[in-house]
Amino acid sequence: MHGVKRTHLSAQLREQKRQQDSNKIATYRRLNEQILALREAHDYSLESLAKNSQLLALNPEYYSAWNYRREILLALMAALADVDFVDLFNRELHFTLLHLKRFPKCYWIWNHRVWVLQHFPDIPSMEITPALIAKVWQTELAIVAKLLEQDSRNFHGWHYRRFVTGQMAALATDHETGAARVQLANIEFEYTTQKINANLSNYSAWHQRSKLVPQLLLSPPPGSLFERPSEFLTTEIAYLTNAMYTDAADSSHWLYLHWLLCELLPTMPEAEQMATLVKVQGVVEELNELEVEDDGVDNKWCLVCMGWIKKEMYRIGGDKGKLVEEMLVLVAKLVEIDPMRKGRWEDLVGSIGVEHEIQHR
Amino acid sequence: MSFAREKHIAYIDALNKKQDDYEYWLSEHLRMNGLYWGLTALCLMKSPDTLPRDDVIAFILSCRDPNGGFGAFPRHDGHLLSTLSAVQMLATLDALDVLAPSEVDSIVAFIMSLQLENGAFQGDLFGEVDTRFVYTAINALSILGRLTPTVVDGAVEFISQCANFDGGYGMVPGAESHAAQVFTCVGTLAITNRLDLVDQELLGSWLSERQLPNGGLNGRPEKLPDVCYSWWVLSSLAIIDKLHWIDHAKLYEFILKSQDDKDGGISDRPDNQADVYHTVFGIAGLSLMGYEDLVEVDPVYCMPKSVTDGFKKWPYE
Repeated sequence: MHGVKRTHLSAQLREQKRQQDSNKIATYRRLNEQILALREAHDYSLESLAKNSQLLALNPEYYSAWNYRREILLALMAALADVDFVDLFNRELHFTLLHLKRFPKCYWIWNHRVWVLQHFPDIPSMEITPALIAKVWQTELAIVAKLLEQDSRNFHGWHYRRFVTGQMAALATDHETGAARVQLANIEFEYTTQKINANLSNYSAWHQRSKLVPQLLLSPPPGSLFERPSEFLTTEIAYLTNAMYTDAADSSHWLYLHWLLCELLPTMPEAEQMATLVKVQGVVEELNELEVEDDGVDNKWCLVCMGWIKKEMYRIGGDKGKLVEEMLVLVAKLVEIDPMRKGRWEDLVGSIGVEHEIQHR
Repeated sequence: MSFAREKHIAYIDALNKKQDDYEYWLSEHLRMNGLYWGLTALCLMKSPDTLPRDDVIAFILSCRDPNGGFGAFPRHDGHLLSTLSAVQMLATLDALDVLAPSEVDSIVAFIMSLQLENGAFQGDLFGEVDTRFVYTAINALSILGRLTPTVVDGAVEFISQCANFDGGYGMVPGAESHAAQVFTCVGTLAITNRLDLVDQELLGSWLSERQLPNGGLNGRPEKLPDVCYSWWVLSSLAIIDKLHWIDHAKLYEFILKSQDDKDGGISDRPDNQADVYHTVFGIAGLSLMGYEDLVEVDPVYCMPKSVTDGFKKWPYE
């Protein structure tokens, strides 16, 4: 149970709830018993499907009832029952959407929608054409975009979005598949930009970006920035700089920056790596100075980021003794301003020392 | 506020006597898991006999599905989630021997039948794939001492594809890191003896950032704290030996504030309605941190350490 306020009912209110519950319990148990009996009798009729809908409306978490529902649909298809299957499946989609609006975090509803869509191409109907299927996925993409507008961090929504675009890419004929994937990845990259512009702290979008960038660098869309990795990195750093200056306390863009540097730098000549690190370090130091002026205290993420940069410089071959000293100064500050994670920072002091010793042995 | 041990015990004891509540009936599909949460909390609070052992075993056996697994309730479908809870409880009660060897074989066959070609597991035959199910499968097979190289290699391969830029893990490859999924992935890698695949510095850092100024832990960045992450985050930190990377005293305070000190039980956060799920994970978190004279909990299995010590370790001799 999440987010439900605690109440201690008075004796009178408890009695009132008992009476109200008693009617609901009777209805629910009667319906449940009917469904269990129908299923045990292998009844796979449209009437049972309707009854099953009633039960799931009361309890969308009832996984065995979802299973029975799928058994009914499969049996109707296998028997080539005299029903309009396109209409039937569209009604399934409507049914799940209705409940997702009420329970956007219920795994079983999402799961059923996926199951329905995966079985859509198999339904016995002349109407099923590649164009119709493509349209179905387009609709799904629009639906999930809408859902992510309402809750931009719903991980079911993001998961579903990746599933839908994966299905769309798979629809392309064999020789187009590569191009279709690249095009979709590019559209999705733009989508993350749009989500981040709306809210810099959208960690889900930064995450998604980290999944798309390697794909796009590997197969760049013709004429795009991804064809020129170092230019892409410069552009991305400028984008991140804006994020840092807007909300220095939020971890999302800092973690993405760390990942981006670790991912891209090693593919570049050492001189270029060092120049990039020096540039980023300058930006972060300046930001930290502003933070100190404003708040009288160092910004934690600036310090953490400076530590990452120095570690990378150490790897490439800066003045190692000096870098170690500077890292230790940063960590000492972190112990002070971030006492909740004192154990972590103290371990870091140890590991910096050990690393340096091994390097010099 | 002090730890309301007696009230929590009474709260769990009363859960099965709430037939007047509509919610009791609406939660049948979670009953097997709920019983595991209750029993585990009681064992950690040194009160294992509060629920009559024979009744618990009889309930578990009544949920056997002809498909080989256990459902959450009699006449409900066998599913990996309820199958793991059933096996865990039988092990905790030292009652695995109530299962005939052929019954164990059919449970093992049920679990193995749900592994896919890419090494992942689906929860049941209807195809939902999630790292939760990989963990439940591997955990249950490990308790039964029936892991195999094929099962393990596939599971490990799939889990490693779920790693993310921040060191965490998500529900499937491509999915965002989430502390509960981290637990299932790191737990799987611990059971299969492959923690070498984890970027422990990066993951430990991300996990430690889950602690908020009020001491509570969240499951993802920019989210509210929730007592259940006292388990998902803390156990993951314990597995990679970084339990000391967060502030225990502050988390302790947050968990205690989330207790219902009148009726017992623990809620997701202070002043909310208690439930057995948050009760067990709050208590298990306290046990991991060594508070309140609780029985030691195993961070990988979420069962008493004294029970899991008896499990056969992978790789088998």
